[in-house]
Amino acid sequence: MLEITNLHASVEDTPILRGINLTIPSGEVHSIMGPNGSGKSTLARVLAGEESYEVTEGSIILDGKDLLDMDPDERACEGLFMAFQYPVEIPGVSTKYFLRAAVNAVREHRELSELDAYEFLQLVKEKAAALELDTSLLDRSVNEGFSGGEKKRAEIFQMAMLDPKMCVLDETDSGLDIDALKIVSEGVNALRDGNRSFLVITHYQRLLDYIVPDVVHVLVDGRIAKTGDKELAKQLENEGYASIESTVANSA
Amino acid sequence: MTTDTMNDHRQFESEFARLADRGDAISELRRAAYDRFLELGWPTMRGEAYRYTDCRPIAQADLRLATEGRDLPMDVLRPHLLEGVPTHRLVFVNGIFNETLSDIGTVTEGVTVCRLADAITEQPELVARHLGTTIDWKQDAFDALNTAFVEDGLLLHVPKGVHLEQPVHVVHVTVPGEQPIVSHPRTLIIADDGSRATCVETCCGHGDEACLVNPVTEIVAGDDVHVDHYRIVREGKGTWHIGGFGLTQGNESNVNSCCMAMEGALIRNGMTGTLDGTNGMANLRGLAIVDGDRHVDNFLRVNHMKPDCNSREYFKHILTDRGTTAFTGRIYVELDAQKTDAVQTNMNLVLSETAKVRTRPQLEIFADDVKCTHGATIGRLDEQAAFYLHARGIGEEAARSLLTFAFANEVIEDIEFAPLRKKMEALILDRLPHGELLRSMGDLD
Repeated sequence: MLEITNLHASVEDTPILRGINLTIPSGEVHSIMGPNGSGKSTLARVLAGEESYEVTEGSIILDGKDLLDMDPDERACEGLFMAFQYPVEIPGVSTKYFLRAAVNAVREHRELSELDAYEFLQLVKEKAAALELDTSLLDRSVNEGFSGGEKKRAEIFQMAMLDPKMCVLDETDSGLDIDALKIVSEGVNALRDGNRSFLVITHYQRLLDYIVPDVVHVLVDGRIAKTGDKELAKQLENEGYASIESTVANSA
Repeated sequence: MTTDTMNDHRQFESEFARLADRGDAISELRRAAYDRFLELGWPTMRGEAYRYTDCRPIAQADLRLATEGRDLPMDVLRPHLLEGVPTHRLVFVNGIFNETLSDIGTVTEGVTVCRLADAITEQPELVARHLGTTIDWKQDAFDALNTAFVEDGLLLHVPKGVHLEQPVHVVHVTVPGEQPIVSHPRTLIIADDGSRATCVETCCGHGDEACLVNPVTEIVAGDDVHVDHYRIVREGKGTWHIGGFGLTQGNESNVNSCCMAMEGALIRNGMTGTLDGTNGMANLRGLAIVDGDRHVDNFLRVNHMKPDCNSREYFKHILTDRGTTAFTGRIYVELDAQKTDAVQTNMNLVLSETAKVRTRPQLEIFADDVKCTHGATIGRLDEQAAFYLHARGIGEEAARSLLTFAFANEVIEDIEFAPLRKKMEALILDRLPHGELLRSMGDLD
């Protein structure tokens, strides 16, 4: 589904990603863990196409198409979804209005018919119920005044509404208490259907107790330093990143 | 600028003479206002009030008082009506009442909704007691000119304790011609203690020739009154719209007024609110969308005369092309007006390199225990927000439109009268590329 080859990226001429190779087959959940400053969030933002991140080398292929050739909105239409670590507040436009514009933009690109008000609201009802999301939230402006948990739940709700192929979760666990974490994780798990792929970026192993990954990668200093199964995450939780960091430092 | 390049401001002498002989309840007021206009002359950019609005083209135009209405098909009016709501509707064409297009209907018992011309003869004392009391026509030449030429318009009188059920909708259609015309429509709203009412004014144009529309609206609100007032300005391309608005309110009264400056060559919205009782709330709002070479000037003054009152001024301007806007908001707090809580906001969204914004927040405070804040911003669309929308599949232009709509919508989203709010939403969306993407939003409610 997603093939990242020798990816290098910089922010304001400072190299952050230094040759990432990563393949996520259809239906798999991969996790990227790593210490602060290792480039985890940069990877998410490069995938989403944020302008201030410059790709200097390498390629990203999404389902056979060159992602780096696409504008951010095209990437979303092609099935990439990034759940933001810090969802942006947009006062003045209700979540419902915004989502309908998004859903129909994506559907138009995928050559599906536009949802009318009734169909849209049915879809909202169905997806919100699965996430235990209070639909009155959707009448409020996009993310405005939402609690941390509400923001993250709203991101996952948007994900469910847009029906992506490849989901990137950028530190979705940050700022969540255990109950919110469970609800969000259940929402994500409900979207695992054997075809949709996930890249779960997190600093802590805790999230991976709920969203159990097929593969865990450890990102250190802009490269993948180690790859393993879910046990690797547990090992990191016990031992910290120090042992891997020192291995990387020695081999460099 | 010298006066010899302009028309003498005695240009209306013969037209005034016709009115002056009428000998009705407000003859003296008209005469005083006319004399005052002669003293003041057309405003110039040397004075404070019209510093950013150039009135020379108006002064130089050979304006004639409109004396003839026009027959218009209902189709011209239809885009300006509120859909699906019964209203008490008065339609004026070039300032002249149009019976065919109007539909006052059945009014709540005790309430008067009628032509001001009728009220002047039928309820002379009521009109004379209130007309001209809320605005400073001695200082503002256009308010003086309107007052000198008061002939017709709306009188809305809601007696003590009565709630007017349906909104009043006054529509002023201007049909300009080769000869530039001027009209001076007047609205007088008298809301006695404990009453409630909603009034919508639409000023719209049917034709692009030069003309002046000079409407003045006054609201005299007693104690414990709730009045909502809206003015939608959609004039023709060549129209100068210089509007006045005056408000006085008593104890515990809550008055909202919102002006949407959408279309017209030049729109000036002068508002004066006076809180003359305790615990009052004056909520003045405005939205302007300014493109081409158009100009919008919101000029406000809120007078806090008594303690414990709140006032809000919330004005947003969206500029593209070579559009220009000005905002002047003065909050005046009298020595007695302790515990005043006044907030003044002017936000400008600038979407082109060639647009120009001028903003002047002003506070004049004589009391010592007050909370007065003002804020003015001039900015572009938020890049982070745009990226967020892109990341959800929304393209460049649609995202800009959505964010522009969001900016504008904050002015109107709290309007409880839903048909009007939807009308206003639609007016905003009409001005945005890809508005159709968002237009269907309304049906989600």
